[in-house]
Amino acid sequence: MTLAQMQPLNHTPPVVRPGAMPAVRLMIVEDDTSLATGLMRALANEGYEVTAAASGEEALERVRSEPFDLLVLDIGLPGIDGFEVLRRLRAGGYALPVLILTARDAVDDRVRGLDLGADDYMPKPFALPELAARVRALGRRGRGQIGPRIVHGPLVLDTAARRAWLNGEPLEMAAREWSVLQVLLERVERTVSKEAIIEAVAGLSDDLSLNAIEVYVSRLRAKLEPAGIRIRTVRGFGYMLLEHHDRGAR
Amino acid sequence: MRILIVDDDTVVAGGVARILESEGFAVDTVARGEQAILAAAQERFDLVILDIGLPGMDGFEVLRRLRTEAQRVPVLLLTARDAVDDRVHGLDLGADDYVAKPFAMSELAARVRALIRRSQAQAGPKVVHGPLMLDTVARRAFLTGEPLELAGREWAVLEVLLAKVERVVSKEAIIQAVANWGEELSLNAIEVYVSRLRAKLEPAGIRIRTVRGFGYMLQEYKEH
Repeated sequence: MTLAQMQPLNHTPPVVRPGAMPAVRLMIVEDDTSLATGLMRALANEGYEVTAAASGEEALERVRSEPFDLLVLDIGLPGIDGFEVLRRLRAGGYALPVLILTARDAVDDRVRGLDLGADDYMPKPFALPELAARVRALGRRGRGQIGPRIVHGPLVLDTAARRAWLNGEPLEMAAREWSVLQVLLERVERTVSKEAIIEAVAGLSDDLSLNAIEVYVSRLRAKLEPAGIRIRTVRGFGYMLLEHHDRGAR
Repeated sequence: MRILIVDDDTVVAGGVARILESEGFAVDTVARGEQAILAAAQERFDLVILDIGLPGMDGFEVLRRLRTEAQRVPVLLLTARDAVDDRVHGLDLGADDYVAKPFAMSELAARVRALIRRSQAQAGPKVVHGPLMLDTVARRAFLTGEPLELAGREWAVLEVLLAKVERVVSKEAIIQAVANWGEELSLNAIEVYVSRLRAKLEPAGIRIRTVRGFGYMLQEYKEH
């Protein structure tokens, strides 16, 4: 992330060039609606695109279906608590930075949260300017040169932020499509069986049929083939992402 | 993983160093900001723990200079100055975390682990490479589900290689990452650690390739 993108909007209007990073998307997971509203307003003023979820289940659901760059996560939530949300995210391979913001300020809680995979931990009550500064620090780290990227011809995947671009334009993908694509990208020019895809993709929840994989692959094809990226069907076995050749693109 | 502590309070510096060494980090300590700048220019650290109130150049200035030299090394400010303005100032100068003294050692250690994890682009506390799994919090390794015994240095060398799968790492870079200034670690010693790692990992299909006259490369894991 460049400094310009971190400035409040009223100081530096964002310049969106092809291939430039879009606005930072942030989700606040907080059941105290007045606190959530206050945080949303404050962080939106800093130039972030902010949404809120009132429960852990809702947060997980949304992270699986939309790309987020950062989570501000409360621990005491109705239903599954923040620790469990964090544990499930990391177990599912979601690497986005997480800042825990909670009234639980015992050292043991802090250590537990950080060791479950949180990047920062702030006890309530907190000072808003400090929260904003910590969010900026995480944004810098999470979106700096450090996030691992996968490039395949005109396709770029930012695996830390779970965002994709095709020919420099943001590419929307459902979480499952993303997972299937990632499996194929790890094995370019090698055949991957449908069973192996299911194993790699179904981690987060339930069972997934071979038919479902076919559906995800066909959705991926619809999005990627216009840019010359081809997924070959290997009859009775699985799929293979072909190496990208510039000339193949139309 | 190598950590630089910059603190003129030798009691604090010594205590933090001891804890982090017991977690397997290689730790160096300096008492002045000028020395920190010099050290960071000469050696590659994975994390800097920086006090603000130092004799001579203060911690804010050290941080500012590190960042103008485009050093991406994660910096944790550890200081008695706990005003919100100081925190905001430090974080906005490019610090990655800010911990006020007095602090709980267990929390500091957990924050250090979190920063190292993020800077190595690890998703969570567990690093997986084929059948090998490193639990970086518990500092335990598992191979095809079985506990794997690794001596401290073997762990350190393996961590360096795992952070650069399919990239060649020179023996000098490995020494840099696993030994502090007080220790003389020879190129031969690195060879010994690598051969011990091979003996443990190759039966499971994990290969460390020798790049003659240069170093080593942990190969991408492929199922057979």
